[in-house]
Amino acid sequence: MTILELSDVCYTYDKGTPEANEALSHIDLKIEKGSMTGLIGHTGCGKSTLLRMLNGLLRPDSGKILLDGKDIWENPKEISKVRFRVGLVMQYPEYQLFDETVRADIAYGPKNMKLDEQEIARRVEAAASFAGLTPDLLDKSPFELSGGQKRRAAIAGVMAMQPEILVLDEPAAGLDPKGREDIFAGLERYRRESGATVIVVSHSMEDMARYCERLIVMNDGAIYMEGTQAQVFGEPEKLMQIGLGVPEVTRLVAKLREGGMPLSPDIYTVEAAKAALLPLLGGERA
Amino acid sequence: MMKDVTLGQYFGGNSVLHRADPRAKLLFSLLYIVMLFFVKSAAGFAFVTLFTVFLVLISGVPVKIVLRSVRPLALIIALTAFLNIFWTTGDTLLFEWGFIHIYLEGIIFALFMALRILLLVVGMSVALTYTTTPLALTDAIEELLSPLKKVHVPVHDFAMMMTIAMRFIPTLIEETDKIMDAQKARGADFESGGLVEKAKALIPILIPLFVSAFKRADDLAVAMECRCYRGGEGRTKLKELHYGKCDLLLLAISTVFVAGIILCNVFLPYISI
Ligand SMILES: Nc1ncnc2c1ncn2[C@@H]1O[C@H](COP(=O)(O)OP(=O)(O)OP(=O)(O)O)[C@@H](O)[C@H]1O
Ligand SMILES: [Mg+2]
Repeated sequence: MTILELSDVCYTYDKGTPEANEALSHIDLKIEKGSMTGLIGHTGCGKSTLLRMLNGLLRPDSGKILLDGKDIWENPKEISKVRFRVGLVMQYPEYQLFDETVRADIAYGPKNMKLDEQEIARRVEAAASFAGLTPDLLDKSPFELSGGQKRRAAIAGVMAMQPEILVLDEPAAGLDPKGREDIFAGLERYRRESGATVIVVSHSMEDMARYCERLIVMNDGAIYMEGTQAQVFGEPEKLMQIGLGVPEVTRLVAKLREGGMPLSPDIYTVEAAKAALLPLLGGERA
Repeated sequence: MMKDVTLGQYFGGNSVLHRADPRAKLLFSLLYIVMLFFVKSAAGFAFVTLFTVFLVLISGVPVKIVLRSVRPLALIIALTAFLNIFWTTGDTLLFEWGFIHIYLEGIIFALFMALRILLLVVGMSVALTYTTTPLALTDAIEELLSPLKKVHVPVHDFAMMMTIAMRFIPTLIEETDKIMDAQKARGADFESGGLVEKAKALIPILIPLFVSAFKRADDLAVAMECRCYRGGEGRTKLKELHYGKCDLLLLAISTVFVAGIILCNVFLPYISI
C-alpha cells in the first residue's frame, strides 16, 4: 500500500531573483507503507530539499504531496499535524538540542503533541533505546555528550513522536563504523516494532545495501533511477555516470566473476559474499 | 523566511561610484549630509534633487531598488511633514478651525523637510550602501580614524570586530533558519498563543543559536591565533586603499555640488525657510 506519494513536484530556491536555483524538477515518487527506502545522489542533487518537502517545511511550487492519499497542503493551517506524522531528522541534527537534560530534550516533540506525562515518559524511554542511548545519559545535559551521542539524542527526539514515516538525512554521517551500524540497526528495529515507514539518505552504498530494500537515485534535482537493490546496483555503469558506485564487495564479486568464479552478480553485502564464497573455497569457518 | 531580511544592501556594479575609494565616498556622504542642511530655498532644493537624481543615474542602481530603501522610512517622512504643517506658524493664514491653524509657511516647511529626509536617504544609499561592500566600508572607517591610534584608541580592533560581526550576520541568519526548521519538525509552533507562550517558543531556538555562536567565536579566535594574528600592529593588507581617477571625479562632483548650493542660497533665495 502506498503511504506517501509525490506527483510532479517542482521547487526553485529564491524564485524570481537572479540567483534562482531549480532544486527539484518534476519529481514523481511512491513510498510503500512499512518499507525502508534509501535515497542516494551526489552532493547538491536535492536530497535534503526533497526531504524538507515531505513534512511540509518547504511547499512545492507545483505538484502535490499525498499522505495516505490526502494532499498535505490542502489546509496549510494544519501542516503541523503532518509534521507529527512525518518525522524529519535533519542533516547534522545535533544543533537542535537545547533543553537542560537529554530526557527533557527528547520529550520536546511529544510535549508539542500535547500527550500526557506518562505517555511522554514511555515514549522517551522507547526512543532512547531505539537510538542506542544508555539510561545514564538521559539525565545529563545534552551539551555534555560526545558528538555521536548528541546525534543519537537528536534522532531520539524525532523518534519519540512515533511518526508513521521517519525521514532521516544522513543520520550516520561522520560517525565511526560501530556508530553507523548502531544507528542503522536501531532504525531497522524501530521500523519492525512500530510498523513505520523509513526513508533515509546516505552516501554509503554499504549501508544502503544492508538495510534498504528499495533505492531511489537522484541526479540534478530529478529522479535518476528507482527500484529494488538488484535493479539499481545491477547497472553499475549508469551509477558511475553520475559519480556514484556500487558497494565495494559487489565490485570484488564482479572481478571474481571475470576471473571465472561461478558467483551470482546480485551480491551486495559482505555477509552475502561470505555465504556465497565459503562453499566455493571448500571452507566452513570465516 | 529569515533569509528575506536584507542586510547590507550592496548592489554590484562598475560605476564611478562603485569604483571610487570607500574613504572618498564616506567623506562625500558626510559632505552631502552637512550641505543638505544648508539648503534653504526652492531653487536650492530643486538643485539638490536634480543632483541626487544624477547620482542615482550614474550609480547604475535601478530606480525601483533605490525606492525600496525609502519605503521603511515612508511613515517617518509622512509624520514629519504632518507635524510640521500644524506646528509651524507664519504670516499667511490659509485655514483656521478651532485650535488648528494652517499657514502657507507650514506647508512649505513640511514639504521641504520631507524632501530633505527623502534626499538624505536616497543620496546616502547610492553614494554609500548600494555601491560599497560592508567590508570596504569598515576598511575606510579604519583608515579615516587611524590618526586616533596616536592617542591609543584601538581603531584596528574596533574595525576587526565590525568586520567579523558583519561577516557572521548571514551565517547566523542561515543558522537561525536551520534551527527553526529542526524545531518545527519537532512540532514547534511560533505563531499561536499569547505573548508569554510566543516568548517561550523562542527558547528552543535561542539556546542552540547562542551555543553555536559562542562555539564559533571560540573556534575563530583559535584559528586567528594559529595564523599569528596579533592585532593591527605591523599588519599589511591584501587590498590596499588607493585614491584614483574616480576619486578625482568625485571631488569634482562635490565641488559642483557645494558651489551649486551656495549660489542658489545667495542668488536665488525665493521661497526660503
Ligand atoms: N536555503 C537554500 N537557498 C538557496 N539554495 C539552496 C538552499 N538550500 C539548498 N540550495 C541549493 O539547492 C540544491 C540542492 O541542495 P540540497 O541541500 O537539497 O542538496 P543535497 O542533495 O542534500 O546535498 P548534500 O548531499 O550535500 O547534503 C543545491 O544546488 C543547493 O545549492
Ligand atoms: Mg543534504
